[in-house]
Amino acid sequence: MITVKNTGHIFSPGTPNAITALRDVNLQLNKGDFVVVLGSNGSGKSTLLNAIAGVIIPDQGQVIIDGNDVSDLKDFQRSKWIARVFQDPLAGTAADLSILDNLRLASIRTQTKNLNFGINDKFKSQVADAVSVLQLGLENKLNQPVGTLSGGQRQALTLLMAVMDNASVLLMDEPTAALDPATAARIMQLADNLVKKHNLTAMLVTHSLKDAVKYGNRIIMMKEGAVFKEWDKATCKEVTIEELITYYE
Amino acid sequence: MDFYTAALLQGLGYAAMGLGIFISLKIFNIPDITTDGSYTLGGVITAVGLVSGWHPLLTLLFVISGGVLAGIATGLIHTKLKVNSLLAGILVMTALYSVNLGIMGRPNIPLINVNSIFDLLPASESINMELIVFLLTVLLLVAALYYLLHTDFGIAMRATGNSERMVRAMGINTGVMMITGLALANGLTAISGFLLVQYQGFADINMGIGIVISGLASVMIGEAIAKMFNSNNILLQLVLVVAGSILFRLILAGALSSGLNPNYLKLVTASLVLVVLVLTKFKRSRS
Repeated sequence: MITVKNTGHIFSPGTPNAITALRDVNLQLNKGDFVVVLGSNGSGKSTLLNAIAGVIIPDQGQVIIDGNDVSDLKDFQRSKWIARVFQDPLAGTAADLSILDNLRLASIRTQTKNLNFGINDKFKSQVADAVSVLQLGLENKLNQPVGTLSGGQRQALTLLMAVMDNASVLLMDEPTAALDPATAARIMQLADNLVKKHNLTAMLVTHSLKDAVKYGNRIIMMKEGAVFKEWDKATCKEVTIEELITYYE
Repeated sequence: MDFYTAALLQGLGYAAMGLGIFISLKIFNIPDITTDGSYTLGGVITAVGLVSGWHPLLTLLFVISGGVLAGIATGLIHTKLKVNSLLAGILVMTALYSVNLGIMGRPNIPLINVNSIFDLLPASESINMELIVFLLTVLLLVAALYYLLHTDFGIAMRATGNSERMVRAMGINTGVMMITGLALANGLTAISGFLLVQYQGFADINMGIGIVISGLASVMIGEAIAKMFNSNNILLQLVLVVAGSILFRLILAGALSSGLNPNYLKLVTASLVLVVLVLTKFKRSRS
């Protein structure tokens, strides 16, 4: 569960370029929530997601995850609770490292990385099983550098990596924006399956209204750094793409 | 002694520095100029320590600590003060010149009648003690790095140069990782200073000028050969850095023995590095 309290943030404060990216945002995300955040460019969607992830530490307000006040923790310290998927499909994996190495890091996301050898036979077969779920044939390429895979394959791996170690929150920032439609659909389906299977709190920033109505069980529309309109679990089922689109104007 | 044996020994001696550059350049994408200073620092501490009668291994401990501190300084300036990594290296290298001069008290210290690393094993006429010591050191370092880079910590370190966002999302403090990497790299570089000073028999304040280029050359030659094998194997890459270091010294020795004016050595060195750099670039874009 995540609580965002009275959160506000200004970029380049005190300069002519000052931008109020978030103004007094209050939000509560519960377990099992699949929250889709919509809004035009510059409305503060990504800033909100980054404030929760700890990439930016907001000027004011609090972020509380599962009862822990994480407001002052940096992104790598919040990874104990939060797994992330980026807009750039190549950003979520390390290109020069093998699939095995990448998944090893993901499997100890919440733990310290010490001088142990984590990649043993047991781990290898575990990874082969996990990867085979993706049905991309990657289970036979475990020692291959991830850089040799396609963007879609790497984004699928990133999603898989997100749930390898005790995730409770999954933050996705336009995860399919750089992918072709068929791959994008597969990635979203995979994300939805994983969120349900692991009972995660998920937050998806997207411009795809189709994905919003298909996967979201809550929808938030942002405007000028504030939550402008919200559809809860009940109203979310009724809302249509046509209705959503009117709020962009 | 044979010209080429000397080149082989130098190549092995500089291999530690090559391995250090492998970490800073290949893993963190930082061409770390601190190297010039930390190499000399290693040599300077060696000379002062051995002349003062310290045990060579105790001296080595101080040498590594010195290099590690130099790397930490560059790392802190880069990550905490947000100074460009190249500039951070230049700053620390420049500062180290004074530090080195301060430690030595004069610009040059000859090693006469000191107990060096070559005296640790019982001497024998039939074996080349320098070769054995250098080989053993390089072997140990390659094995240690191979081990380190395969641990969970090592995987995290290798990932850091790839995607900072991913690594932070995996709960890794990229700043600390970078400082650790630079510390390790410069600790290795200082070991080269330690070996070479005992091999050549003196420490000189100017011994490190432009030395970083030798390290870059060995890494790049190694990389060029690795491309031929089309392999991502870490052990192979480490071994090829050592091979690159030896090859580079052999090329220089070859150039000198074929009548190259030693004044042009650095010019040839820089050109050689440029050629290898461009060659590997073209290969990369094709693949």
